[in-house]
Amino acid sequence: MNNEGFLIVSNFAVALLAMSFGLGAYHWLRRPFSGLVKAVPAVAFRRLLRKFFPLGLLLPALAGFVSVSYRGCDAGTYAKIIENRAYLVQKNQEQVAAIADYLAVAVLVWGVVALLVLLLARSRPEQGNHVR
Amino acid sequence: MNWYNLVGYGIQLVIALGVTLGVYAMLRPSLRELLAEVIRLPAATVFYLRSLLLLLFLVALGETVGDKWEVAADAAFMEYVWNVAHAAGQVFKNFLWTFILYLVQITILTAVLRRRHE
Repeated sequence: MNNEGFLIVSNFAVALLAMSFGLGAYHWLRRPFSGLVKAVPAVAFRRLLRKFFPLGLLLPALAGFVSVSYRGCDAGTYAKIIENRAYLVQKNQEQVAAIADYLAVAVLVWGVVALLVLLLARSRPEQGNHVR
Repeated sequence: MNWYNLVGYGIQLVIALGVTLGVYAMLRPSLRELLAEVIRLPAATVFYLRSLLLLLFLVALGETVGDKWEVAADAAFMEYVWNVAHAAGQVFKNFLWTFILYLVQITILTAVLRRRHE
């Protein structure tokens, strides 16, 4: 595979990876978050939080992916970018790292949202949402 | 990237993920106990435990994958060790920041909810 082919394949592969990271994080936290949100008294707010939750994990993962630019100081033109395979691999590594970083920040922010939800709902133990 | 670097890269990844699981396993029982006692909502306890594991995993992955391997094929063994140690150091540093931010959340939660329960 030539460098241009590698660029195309690797770029779309990392984009898919970003989506799967975002959706994987959503899947991992979905059930406990849903149970936690049940403590919110306002039904409309509960529904809103449930709608925002997948977006709030998927979009940061994609934002991390697109935040890495191939046009660095050394490689300004397309021809220069595809000249060096090692440079392309390095950019892929940076993309994966950025996806992980952005997603970590998003998880922390959702932790703060969960904290506010719990404070708002005054933690009602009688609801007993059992999530394993 | 030659195979020497790939092996080093793989070792670095395994160490980072191993440390992640080790740290989480160490913290989980007491954190679970605290959260169960303070929040009194099983779903919220599970959410905070899972988010901690996810955070540690993402931090470890971000640091190790983003690390540049620029060791020459004929480099001495210790140069590889230094490279792995450097990446591990970055992972530990970011773990520290993660713990600080996570613990701020848990402290606020504990302080406010405990006062309300009393």
